[in-house]
Amino acid sequence: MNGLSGHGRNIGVAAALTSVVMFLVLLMLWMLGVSPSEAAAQLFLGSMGSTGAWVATLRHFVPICLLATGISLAARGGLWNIGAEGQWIAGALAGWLAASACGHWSLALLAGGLGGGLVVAIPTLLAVRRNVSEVLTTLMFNFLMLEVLRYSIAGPLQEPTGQFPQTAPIPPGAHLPLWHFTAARGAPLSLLIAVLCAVLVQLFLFRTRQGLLIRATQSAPRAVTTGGFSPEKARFIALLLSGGLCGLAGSIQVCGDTLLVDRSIASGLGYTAIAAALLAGKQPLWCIPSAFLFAVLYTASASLQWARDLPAMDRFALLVQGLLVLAILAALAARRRPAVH
Amino acid sequence: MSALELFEIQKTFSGERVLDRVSIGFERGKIHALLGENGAGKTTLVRIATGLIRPDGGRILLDGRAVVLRSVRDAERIGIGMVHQHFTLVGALTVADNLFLPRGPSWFTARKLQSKAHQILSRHGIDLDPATRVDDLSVGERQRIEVVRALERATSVLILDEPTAVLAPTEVEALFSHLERLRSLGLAIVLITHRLPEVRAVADHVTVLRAGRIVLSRPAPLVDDSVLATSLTGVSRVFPESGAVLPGAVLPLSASRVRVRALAGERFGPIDLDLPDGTITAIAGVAGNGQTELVETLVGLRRRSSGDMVIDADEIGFLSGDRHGTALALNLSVGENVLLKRPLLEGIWWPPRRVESLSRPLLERFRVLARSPAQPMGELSGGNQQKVIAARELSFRPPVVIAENPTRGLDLSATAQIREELRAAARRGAAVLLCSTDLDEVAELADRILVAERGRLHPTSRDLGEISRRMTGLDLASGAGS
Repeated sequence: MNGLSGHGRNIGVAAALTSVVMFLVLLMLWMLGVSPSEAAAQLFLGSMGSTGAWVATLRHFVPICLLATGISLAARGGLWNIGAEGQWIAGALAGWLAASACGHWSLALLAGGLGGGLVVAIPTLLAVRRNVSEVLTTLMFNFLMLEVLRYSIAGPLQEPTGQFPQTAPIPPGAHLPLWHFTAARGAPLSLLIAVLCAVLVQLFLFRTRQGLLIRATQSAPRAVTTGGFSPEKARFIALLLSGGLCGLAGSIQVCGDTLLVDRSIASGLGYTAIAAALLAGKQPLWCIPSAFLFAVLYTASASLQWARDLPAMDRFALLVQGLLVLAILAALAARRRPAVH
Repeated sequence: MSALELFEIQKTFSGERVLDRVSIGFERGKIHALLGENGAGKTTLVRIATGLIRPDGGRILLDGRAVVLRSVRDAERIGIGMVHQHFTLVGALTVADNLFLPRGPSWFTARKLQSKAHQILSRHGIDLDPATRVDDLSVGERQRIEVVRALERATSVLILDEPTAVLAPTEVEALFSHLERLRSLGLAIVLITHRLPEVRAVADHVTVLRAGRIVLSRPAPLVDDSVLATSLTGVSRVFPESGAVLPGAVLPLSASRVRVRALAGERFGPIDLDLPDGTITAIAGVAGNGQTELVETLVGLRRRSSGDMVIDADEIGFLSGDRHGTALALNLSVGENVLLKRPLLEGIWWPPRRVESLSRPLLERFRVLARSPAQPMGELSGGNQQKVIAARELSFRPPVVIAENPTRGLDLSATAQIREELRAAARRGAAVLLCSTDLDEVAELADRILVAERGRLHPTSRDLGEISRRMTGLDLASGAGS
């Protein structure tokens, strides 16, 4: 693991980035006629100011955290899983099928993980065996899965009345413990799973031999080879597990939140999670605060949209995300040393 | 008077002096051969002459006037051009396109471009259709297009960096007759090469660089072959015979753990080689003669194209000279790196505490200077990184050890330590293969010596004069093996 200085630096960088981005956001809002103080207050209240706001934020946190964890795992092996979005759709569909067929969420989550793994299997094989860039292939599978989703919810998996482009709801037995903070249903299971996955992946990467080999493969696959191990195997495991985590996120979304599958499942969270993984410095544990920050951004900007009904606001969350990604990239570029000639 | 003169040039890279007040002049109508081993400073020198890098000190004079070169364009503007070791032509475009890339006319038709290209080619005596795609040319033809293109931009000084490395003998002849034509037109030509026969064939003047200094600079007819070989490799003494001299690469007894027969791969072969237990076999040679490819095939990083290879060992101890690409993962800790080998990294769970407790004794035994095993690998100096490699690759007592330039860039004590470890490995019965471009190292360690030349291995005696002649291709050219 990095030394303390590394973590301290990460926190500092994240804090500086967030402040810069917040400043730019408030500046833009001010130019649109919203007073900065009012906007800041609304951003805070809308994301963390009430139980309802907290629930909304955590509903975003769970998928972003799981997806970012999966993306970080692949990135630690030197692979960029741009296909989180597609694997998440596959997980949602597989989870819905399993939930509808057997009526229990545990099998649905298992199916979700397998679905994500299945979708990433072809890019994985191409990357490991044929050296085809996984960036390209996983991205292509996003478009493919989007079409599979459209077809499924308007075709074979459509709800029985055939009126809406969506599936039927899953049976009640397959519901995850829901978001009833005020009711006595206990801690939501999905929140627990998301945090647990981040912790487990962190332990896997930094406390097991296979994790060590995955990290070594990122920078020196030839050293892994001459060490008597297989960098191909390390890549294979990293990318397949990454896809599995993204699929798991999709099935959790269905069983714990939406309870059915419709077009809105493909909302681009798989891309947001790439930014979250970047901000977390590809450390699964850091994906927890990073995902939380992005979740706050989502709900805060949505609440601002409702509160002020500004015409330019409907893409506000995306705008803020874009700024954040640019800021991260700038910080990374600044930290990299200039090339010596 | 020299067309281009470099005066008291100094250059230091991260504390290491690469050029130490080098003064050299290149005259019009002369072919000036620049020789030196890898790392002698040749490339740095010509990069300074072409504006790619700026010197720390010294002056550059063109026809007696001081000039400042801030970029390649500056150098081209005053007539200095270069043909790089690697091809820079765009394969998918035609010869004509390439000749005018990227500084051709803004507006043109293909026909006009081709007729202009045709004029240029015929001026150089090259009979080629300018509409041919570069991908369809032979290597030699491409090389000559590179030369022509460089001359279209630069008109007084032409620098060629090892232009013959990839050429067949007839292509070399064609290139040299082209260079001779250019010389008669009054160009100053600088030819970087490793091969003494080429110097004999075309050079008017010879300069040898070693460790950033000029050790010899004379008109070519006044330079004796053996003097040249000696000053090139820096070995002036014949070291005493020690131990048995085993002339051949293949041993009569089958007592060796490593047996290689007719092995061939990219840039080497076919090669026969046995590595007997308890001895150090050294492969000497100028870099780029297939040694790296051979070693990487032996350790499983490359595929062979034909032949047989038997290695009776579960794991090979491999001291790679390529620290960052092949040996170390810089994003991992020192402790994790020193354990990155199957015999050391057993079991599933490797929490930081276990990494630390198992790696610490290894790091201490090899006297690696690190704050703790948790320190990031990239923070260690080059010498300490090399010690980490040695600690990992020798600590599990491998029966076969392959070392490639294991002490390159190390200070004296680190060098001595790693050499002693290699000797110790041989003493306890390991078969050791040492691949080194450092003749002193070969002389100090080897029980028997092979010279790599153009992908083949030639057995040789311990006479350093013979080794350096073989390394520079003289023996092969004259056909006089001793």
